[in-house]
Amino acid sequence: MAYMLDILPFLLEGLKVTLTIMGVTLLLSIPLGFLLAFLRHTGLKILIFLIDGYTWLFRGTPLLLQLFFFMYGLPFFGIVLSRETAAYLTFVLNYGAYFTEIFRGGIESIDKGQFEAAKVLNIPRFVQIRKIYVPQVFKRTLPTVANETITLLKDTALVSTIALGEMLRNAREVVARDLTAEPFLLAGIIYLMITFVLVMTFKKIEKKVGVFN
Amino acid sequence: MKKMLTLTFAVLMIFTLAACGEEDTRSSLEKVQDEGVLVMGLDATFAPMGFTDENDEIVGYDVDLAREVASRMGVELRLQPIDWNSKVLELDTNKIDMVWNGFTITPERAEKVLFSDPYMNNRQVVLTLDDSINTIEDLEGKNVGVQMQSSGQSALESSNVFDDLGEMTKFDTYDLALEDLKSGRIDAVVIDEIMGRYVNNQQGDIFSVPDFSLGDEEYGIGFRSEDDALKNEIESILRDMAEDGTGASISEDWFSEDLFLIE
Repeated sequence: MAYMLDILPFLLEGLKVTLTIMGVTLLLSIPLGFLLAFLRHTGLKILIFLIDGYTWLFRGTPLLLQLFFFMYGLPFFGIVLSRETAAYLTFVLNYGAYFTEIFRGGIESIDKGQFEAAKVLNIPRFVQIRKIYVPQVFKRTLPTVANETITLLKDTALVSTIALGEMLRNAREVVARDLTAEPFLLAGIIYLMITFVLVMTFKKIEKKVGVFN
Repeated sequence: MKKMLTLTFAVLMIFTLAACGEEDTRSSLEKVQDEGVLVMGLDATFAPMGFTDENDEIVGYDVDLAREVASRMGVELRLQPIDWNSKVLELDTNKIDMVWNGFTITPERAEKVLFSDPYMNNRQVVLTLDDSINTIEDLEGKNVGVQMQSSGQSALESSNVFDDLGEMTKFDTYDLALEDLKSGRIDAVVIDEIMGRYVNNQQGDIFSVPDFSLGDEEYGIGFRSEDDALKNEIESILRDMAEDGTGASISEDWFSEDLFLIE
């Protein structure tokens, strides 16, 4: 136990990186997904083509490969991103692709009658989106978004491959240094504690938005 | 919250216990001879000791030595690429029989691993694209890359310049560190001279290797601490190979000179 406390600060230092990547990704990829899902909903052929191409590209290749591309592929084209920027960019674009598809599903699940009624009542498009679509899409996709958020927490471990010291990597480093597997146990517990908080938070939000039922 | 923690612990404990399994009472040497397979753990990116060549085969100086040893033992050599950070765990959990891959002998490692006699000398040197790095003091303020938990990292950490470094970046493998060196994210890489000179040569000598070292060291083969029998068997075969010149000739294949230390 004393040993666990000894190595805890180093793991927590990694946790900062883990949570930062997670925060930046959520903060940017959810709005990106919303935006693209609504752009796609306009029905413009060229937009649909471009957006589908984007989601195909980012959902169709491993996140690890994308990470390597932004980190080690771009320098071939003369673009050298910092380690952090490469990680943020990859994660935002990757998760943005998933969120686009999730929100598209949410939008398409809304009864067409509502849209037609809004049209008859002459409600402006912008108000339609804000008052009719967004609240319903938000509510319907919430469980899926919660799922993605938990996946994201664990996916952040991939940045260890581009030499960023996230939590699991720091644990691995201690394992290699002290030649014991205990840091893995500690890292596992920390991951579980965070997912526990996430699950609880999403449950609360679900309950709250359930009021509209 | 407390309940959750207790439950977590309980579940993890069960996994840990389940992983232990049954004890094998045979010594590793007996096991290798019974099953006819010797498993060698290596980081398959560590040229020229053990690495994946253009035909997707794992080759290298250590691999050639180990093949010769295995054939003299009358067993098959199985190459098992491992995560270099987990080398001791791989060994302790019996996934591999030995670590043989430019494995530097250090006092800390010797506490957990049984080392063979050294079979090769090595130094830690620096690869760089920066002409202003000529002495170890020139690393001041620079961003220096190492392989995580390598002897190069220990050498850098125990050098006088360590406190004045700009930053030390730890990579999983050297090839990634060298990519970052090329793209300019880091200024220098501390690397085994044997590997550094080899990969530099492969890439058309684009890096410079300033004439200083961060430490002299020796390569050995790592075994589980209780595996004296296996270690002794392999050492005696290596001595035979020294005597009949096979060790020297394998060394000449790779380095054009005889660097085989065993006598």
